[in-house]
Amino acid sequence: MFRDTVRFANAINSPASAILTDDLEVYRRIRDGMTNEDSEWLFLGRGAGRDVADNQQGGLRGDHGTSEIHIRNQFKAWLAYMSQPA
Amino acid sequence: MTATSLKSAARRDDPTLAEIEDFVDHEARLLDQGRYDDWLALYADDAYYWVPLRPEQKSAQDEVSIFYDDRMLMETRVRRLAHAQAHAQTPHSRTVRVLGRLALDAHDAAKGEYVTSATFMMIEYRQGEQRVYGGTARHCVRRAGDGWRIAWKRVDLVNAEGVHEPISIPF
Repeated sequence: MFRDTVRFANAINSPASAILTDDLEVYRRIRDGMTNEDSEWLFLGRGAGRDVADNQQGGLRGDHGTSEIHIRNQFKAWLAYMSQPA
Repeated sequence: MTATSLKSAARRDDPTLAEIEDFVDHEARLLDQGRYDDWLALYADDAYYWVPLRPEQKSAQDEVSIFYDDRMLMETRVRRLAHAQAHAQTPHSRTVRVLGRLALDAHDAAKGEYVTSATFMMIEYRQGEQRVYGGTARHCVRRAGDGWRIAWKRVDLVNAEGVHEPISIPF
């Protein structure tokens, strides 16, 4: 158990992790992108149109692990709350 | 391993050590040229590649490391480096390695294994930034056919326990 945790830490959290290095690169690119004042929109369309019905919990879920449906869902809920009459 | 210390052996007179030095030098060239499949082929099936998190580290199982790859993880790493969506390597790093003089630390005659060490520097350039790594690389090699295979490699960085930028390329 402990040794599995060590292996997991190496694979996921080491500065040489094949997973973390790609994540950090993407975070850096996003940060660079956020400094661009010409674009006021965030693109959250990943997986849109490919989401599938969740038969157990109702609603939709992404058909793959990187769908942004949960973020779109949050914004949809926010819009619904904000546009309710007082 | 039951090792015989050969530290005092005169390197210039030792053809085996000269051969291993060529081999270790060849490994560095393959990495500098980004020939990762050829690099992987230098390693034995039971090999591991280890970069500890601190110089005195005794175990890769009981403490976390910067790298601790068995053959399977090495293959995964090499496949990723060749993958078009390896973001941390788009664009690829450019590296040069400079190796110091190779010393023979131990020879296990029963296993036919030699342990050598050499200091190294690796300069990496990627996207406008240059980084410098340095340390000691230890190789355990054994004969395989008319060449050599690496049984294990341990790299001790001088700043092992320091704060690191993302590391994509093995040393």
